[in-house]
Amino acid sequence: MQNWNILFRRTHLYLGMLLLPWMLMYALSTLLFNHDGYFRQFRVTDPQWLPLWEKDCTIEAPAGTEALRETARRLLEDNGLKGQFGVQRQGQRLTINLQNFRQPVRLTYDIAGKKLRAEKRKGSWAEVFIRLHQRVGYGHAGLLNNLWALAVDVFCVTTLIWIATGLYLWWKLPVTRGWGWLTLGGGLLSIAILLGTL
Amino acid sequence: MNPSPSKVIRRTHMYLALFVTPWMIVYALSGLVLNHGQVVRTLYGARFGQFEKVGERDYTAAFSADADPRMIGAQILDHLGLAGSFNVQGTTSQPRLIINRNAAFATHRITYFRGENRLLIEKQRFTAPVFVNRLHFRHGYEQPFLSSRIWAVTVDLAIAAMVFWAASGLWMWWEIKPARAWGAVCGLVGFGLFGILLASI
Repeated sequence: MQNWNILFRRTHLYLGMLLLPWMLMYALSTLLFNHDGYFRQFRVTDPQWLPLWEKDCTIEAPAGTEALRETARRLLEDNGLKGQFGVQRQGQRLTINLQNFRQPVRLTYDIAGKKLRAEKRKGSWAEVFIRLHQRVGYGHAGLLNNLWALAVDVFCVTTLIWIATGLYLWWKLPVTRGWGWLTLGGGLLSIAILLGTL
Repeated sequence: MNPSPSKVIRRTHMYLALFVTPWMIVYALSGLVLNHGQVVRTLYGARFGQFEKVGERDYTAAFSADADPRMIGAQILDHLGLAGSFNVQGTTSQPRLIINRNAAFATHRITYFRGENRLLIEKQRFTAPVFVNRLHFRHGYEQPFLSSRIWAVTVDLAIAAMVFWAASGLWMWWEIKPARAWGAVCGLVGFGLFGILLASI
């Protein structure tokens, strides 16, 4: 089936070309995780956050999760900030972390002192890679955030497609079957032994 | 006759892929689970990541006030016949020390109540999403156990494979003349999209 062969080869190749940046990003960021002891030196040092501004501010800081998110959303909007964020309240302090691959911003609201402070995280290429690797999930603010989540899905599904088409292409090369079985079997046996002993 | 560089690159691309196939399946499935965390949690309900009590027992041991929590954890796990990679939450000055023993198929959580000389042993229920996620998050050479270190080597191998696939993929794309134009379009779209997302979110 020459047509299937060509179709699988081209699918394998074009998906690879399309997702090349994600492939390299996930590979290099995994290196940071696997050699954390060495790469820790490239992460930001104290103080990790640099002040941007501070202002007087009076808002209600509700206790419920949804209400808290709504308050955080309003605070961000009022200060010209938007994007994916997380919010938490600890005692008299409300902290909003505005995510950004290159430079996250943190808003801290002192409930008792009625002060709102904005800070930006120091730059670190290692942390950019870590944030790229760890960003997942839909339902966040804006089209581009959801587009990133879609790209993560596409990358995961494509990995399975690469495996399926790769196996097909291997099988179509009879001369490689012996070594192919050996490497595939070696991988399966290795992971089975590791799973049994970890 | 020596094989051509092109053939060596093609074969290396393929055999490397065949070997790391099981790891890539784990990473792909786990990536989907993480990207749809809320849906998966809803699907599994209370079972998701739930710990169930396995037992409780007395544990009388004398540890100095400055004893290393990891040393305590290792000794307790050894005593329970659960030796292997683990992490510890808490300090020796706290009344409770939590030891998480992370095996491939299950996590045991052991709570050591120091003042009461008592151990509470719990085991996480097996669910496929938690299983693949646990393998996904496993990395690093810090754990002093052979299988954990070999796993870290396989993670490095997967990294090397991914970089090699990218580089050799470009080589092979350039060799297939009819695929150059569409390959270039796909590459440009990919890098363009990645660049926009990196710059804007």
